Amino acid sequence: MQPIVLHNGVKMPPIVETTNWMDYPQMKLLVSEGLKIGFRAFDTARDYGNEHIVGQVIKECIKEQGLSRQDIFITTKIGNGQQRLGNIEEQIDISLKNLQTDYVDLWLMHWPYPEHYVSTWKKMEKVFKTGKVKAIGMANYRIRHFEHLFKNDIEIMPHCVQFELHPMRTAEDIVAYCKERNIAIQAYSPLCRMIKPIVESDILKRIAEQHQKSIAQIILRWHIQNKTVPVFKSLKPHRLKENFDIFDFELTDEEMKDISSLDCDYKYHLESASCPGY
Amino acid sequence: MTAITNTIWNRQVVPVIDFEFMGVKRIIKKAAEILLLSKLFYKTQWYKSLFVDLQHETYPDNTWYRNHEERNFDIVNLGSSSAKYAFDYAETGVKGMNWAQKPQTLLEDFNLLRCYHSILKKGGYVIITIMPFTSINKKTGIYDALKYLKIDTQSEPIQPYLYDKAKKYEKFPILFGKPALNGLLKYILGKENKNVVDISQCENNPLSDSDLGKDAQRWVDGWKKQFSISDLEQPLTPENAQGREFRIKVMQNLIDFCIEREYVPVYVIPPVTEYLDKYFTTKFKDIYIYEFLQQVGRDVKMLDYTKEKELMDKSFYFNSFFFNKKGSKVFTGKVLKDLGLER
Repeated sequence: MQPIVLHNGVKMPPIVETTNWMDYPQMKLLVSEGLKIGFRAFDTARDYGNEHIVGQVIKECIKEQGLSRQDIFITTKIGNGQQRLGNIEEQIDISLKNLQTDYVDLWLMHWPYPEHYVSTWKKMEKVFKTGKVKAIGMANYRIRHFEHLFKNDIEIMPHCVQFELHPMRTAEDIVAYCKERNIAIQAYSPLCRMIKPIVESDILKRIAEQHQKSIAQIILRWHIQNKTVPVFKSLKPHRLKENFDIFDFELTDEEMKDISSLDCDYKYHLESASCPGY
Repeated sequence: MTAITNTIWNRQVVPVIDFEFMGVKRIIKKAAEILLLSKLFYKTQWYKSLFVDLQHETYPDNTWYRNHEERNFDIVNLGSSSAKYAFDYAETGVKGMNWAQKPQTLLEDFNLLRCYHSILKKGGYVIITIMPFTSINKKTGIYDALKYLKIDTQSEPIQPYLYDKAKKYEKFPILFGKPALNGLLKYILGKENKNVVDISQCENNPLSDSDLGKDAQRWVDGWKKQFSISDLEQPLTPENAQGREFRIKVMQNLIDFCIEREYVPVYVIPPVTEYLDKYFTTKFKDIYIYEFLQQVGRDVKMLDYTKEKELMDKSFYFNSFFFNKKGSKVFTGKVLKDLGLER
């Protein structure tokens, strides 16, 4: 399991377990199991309302499993509500207290919130320089957002971007744009929620059968080989185990292409419904 | 057991947000709701009728998209009352959504688009429905702000004027006074009208020729009064000219917003029956419609149906102004054909 190295040298695990909307008992179980399986990266956000639970759970789990904070990679995000408030430097302190840690490994701006995102980024750069966060980036950006941001004299090239990415939305333009600039990519909804066209895809079924793997494993492997980091959620420990078992086989170039051919620019999450003016 | 466990865990895990204060605030709000009978008002037909899209089936908000897998729509239309009755995409084979409301201003159109445009595919059409008085100010009140409060707009008002007041009235309907009490009384006495007939669903115009004439006259008199217009062929009043300036900017922003996101904006001007059309003279249309669109100064495709006699047939309408079910099917089909979307 090779880590992804961000352009500032920070190492990011190639697969991430997200914790959105989980309560304590659920999260305790899943993070604990995840760590036993080998997961080392966990994703949260202020808007998920459970940053504080993530902090508590990780603190307990690493103690129980003899790990240290340095073994874990935590991503959190700053929401639109905080962007509206504008006190970004204070918001990181709140996140650090919630997460019971001295630093966040990756701090993302959750949305390119119109009228705010350039100023938010500049404040995030200041926070980065304090060492409270090891890397900064954003989620849900399109190329037009990057272009607008880059026109505004920013100092730090984003280290990582997270967006919806899966075989039905390969977002080739954004992926190429980020790769050209050495911006690492995290993919949320990496399995496209296993909606019907995914589960019933003949292409995926055929490839899964050839490798004796599940469709989910095939898609996650497709991410790994594309060097996009899947950020996924499962409420079942056995599913976590299955989804981690993707490092013992390889897809051929042909298979990679076949999977990408499912692209139809399908976005499960409608961005503007979460970020008006997106 | 689970509930007890959760409570214990939740006590152990304390976030750095002032939840204690938030808790007190919530308790006060709840107590106020109970004291002011809010929960009872929420159940009344009167209260429910204040809002649009209570079922989350019209606008693709966070509830809608989790219940529907369809994406990449071909077309959405914006607009006021006339557009609400003019567009019906069912059975067309085209993925479309009608976002018009009765009534709806251009600013509300734009704000809805800002919230829900991601349902469109790249290159999807955004129909901007132009009505006779789209270009001048409509006075908005609390009901205009209130009606959008049940759809998820991420706390961004669709109608910002009186938004905060509307939020308060939404929570505490008793503030409406008499209408609220009447609504509540009807609910308690079981006298709410459960069998409301939607006249727009008729297949033929229920009005006689004479009634259509009177209806058209009523519309025109109402608009003259509403917009303080004495003569429809005279230049805009200073107040309306000022209102237009604002709307020119809104329209420019709306169009630029579409183009930046690679959607195709289209002006559509629907027809009306001949009973109403006779009031919309060439001079009137020049002043109120075409000059406005010219002043907006954007290169936008325009589909103008105001001279299409076959679409003015009274059997397509349920009064002198609005299409009925049959008319909306014919009209929508025509628009889709003209956009090359006919399936």
